[in-house]
Amino acid sequence: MSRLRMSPVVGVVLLALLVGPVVLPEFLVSIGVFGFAAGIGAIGLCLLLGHAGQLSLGHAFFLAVGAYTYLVLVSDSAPGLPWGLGVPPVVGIAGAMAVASVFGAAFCLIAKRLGGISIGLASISLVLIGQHVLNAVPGLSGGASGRPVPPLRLGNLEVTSGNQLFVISGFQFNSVQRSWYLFAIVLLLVAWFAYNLVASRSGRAFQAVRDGSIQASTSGIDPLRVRVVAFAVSSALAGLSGALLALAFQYVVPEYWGLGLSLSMLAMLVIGGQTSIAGAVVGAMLVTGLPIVFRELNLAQGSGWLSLNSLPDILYGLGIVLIIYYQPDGLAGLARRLAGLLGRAGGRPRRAAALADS
Amino acid sequence: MTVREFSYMLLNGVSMGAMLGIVAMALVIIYRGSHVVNFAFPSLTMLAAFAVIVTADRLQVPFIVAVLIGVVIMAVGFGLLERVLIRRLVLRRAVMSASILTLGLDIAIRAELNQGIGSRHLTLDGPWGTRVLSVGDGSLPVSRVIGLVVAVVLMIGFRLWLKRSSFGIVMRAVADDQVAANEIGVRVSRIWTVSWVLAGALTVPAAVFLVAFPASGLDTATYWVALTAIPVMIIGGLQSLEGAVVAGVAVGVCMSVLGAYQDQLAFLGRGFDSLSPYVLMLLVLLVKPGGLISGAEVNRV
Repeated sequence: MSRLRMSPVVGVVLLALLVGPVVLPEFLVSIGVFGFAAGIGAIGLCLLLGHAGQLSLGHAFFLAVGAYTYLVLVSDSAPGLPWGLGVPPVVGIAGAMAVASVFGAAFCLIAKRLGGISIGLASISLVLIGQHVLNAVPGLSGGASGRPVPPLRLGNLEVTSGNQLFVISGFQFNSVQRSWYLFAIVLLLVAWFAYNLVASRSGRAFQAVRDGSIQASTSGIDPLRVRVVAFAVSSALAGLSGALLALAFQYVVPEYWGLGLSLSMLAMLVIGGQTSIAGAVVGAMLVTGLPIVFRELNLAQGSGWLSLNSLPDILYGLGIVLIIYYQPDGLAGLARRLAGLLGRAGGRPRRAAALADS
Repeated sequence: MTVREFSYMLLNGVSMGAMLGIVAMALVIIYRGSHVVNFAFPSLTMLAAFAVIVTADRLQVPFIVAVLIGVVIMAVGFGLLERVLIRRLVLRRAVMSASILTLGLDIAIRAELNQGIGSRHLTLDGPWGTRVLSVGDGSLPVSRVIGLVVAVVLMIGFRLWLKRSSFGIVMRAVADDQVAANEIGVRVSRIWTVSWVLAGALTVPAAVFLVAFPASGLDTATYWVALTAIPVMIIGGLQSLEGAVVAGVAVGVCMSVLGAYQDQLAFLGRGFDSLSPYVLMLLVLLVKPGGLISGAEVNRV
């Protein structure tokens, strides 16, 4: 991946990340914030599905575990109010990742005879059980009407919310813009970790299991262990993503963490290209942005068969169908082809990104 | 609990469970044939109910004709799905991609159906109306009784067909070992299409009885009712037709019992009866990792 680091594309991306909040209109910066947070979860799913070949429709559950663990750890509790322990935010984030990771590993062990597609089927139960628990335990979730998320404080600066303006050399940064920078940094760290994981022995073990667990076992890889690790890692990232999403929303409700969220994550992955980490992030930006753009353009109106209300969902659904059918490598595949046409460094013929098929 | 309440609870559970078993059977047929999971089945089940309701309504035909038209529509629809979208992927052994494709379809179909149905409840006017049978001093909805009979007939009929007919034997051969079947001259791709067509046909009676009285008709909640076929399929052992049926009945009875004792079980949260199939699934996986009737699917690696 050293080639990637030196590519001009990376330079452009970093520049965009740097100046984005300053030049873009606020609603686009907002899309960026949510997109970065979701992108972390999408990277987790990319490692699990694209590289280890395990379909997971339970990602929303791990996102929720991360969000609510963070909430419970960091909030201050009071009599009659939801649970809270009042620990520092960094501990909260670490806790969110750890707890989500444990759940992921545990689920994989429960479903140890399932794998590939069938574990995807089973993972649906996680989302539904999770939402049920959230709705049934108001101490945890604040009930159906939700609970607020305490802002992330670094020092005495409230990063993700609040009306303070952070000033550097004449530039003022409000909470959305500050969140952009913070989340972008976290996202870059996660992406760096993911790229290294994919290139490592563990990454190759993931791919071996994806391409055939029986064959993998004959080369000394224990597919169950690989699956557990894959679930643990992707769930940890999902937990991180969930906590950041909670911070971005500043308020969470149980309804959000449903099957639709899992399917959106899957859509992000399919759009981006199942094995591509960068693609997952781009997919996340698109899938997060589309409903917001729709709302800005006031397209969602009316009801009934021909209204545009459910159009984003219909578009994702059909998008997934068309992409899988015509361009299974997603946007990453498209980008690779384009780069090849332009004869640039990244355009070397590469083994076609193997989909999680076996 | 009185005898009447008990018998209603049991019959309701067995009847609804048998319907879920049929939906799960349709899933198993497709999965055995081509190792693809048809994730679009919940929205397609809604679509099947919708087709029957609209046909009966607009064309003013007798109910049984509307059902038959529905069967034809769904069978043809499923067959086209397989032929146009799925086949190319299965030929490349891209079963994960094919399954994800059906997920995309489900998202789109469900979004459009939810949008169109909105907050309405589209009732299905079956010939049984709202009649109830008097049993002792109790009453059982006729629709549930007929539903159970239909389910039993379908299950037994399908089983016999698989075992006895030459085509059924060919289907089982493909399910067992595609490569070997191919080598003795079986047109495997034709079997795939037939699996999908059969699944489509089976979806219709299941859909009809899932939305019929005393259920409140086709509404956006029907999706979640149909989705319960997934834990049924897993509990039953993913590749087993009998397992799907047994699991369906077990799940149905479980939901029915928990529903009847809701008040005493309020500490488990409202709506725990609807959640129970998924909890049951996790419990079964703990105890019997391959499902109740684990056959070829057992993945010991």
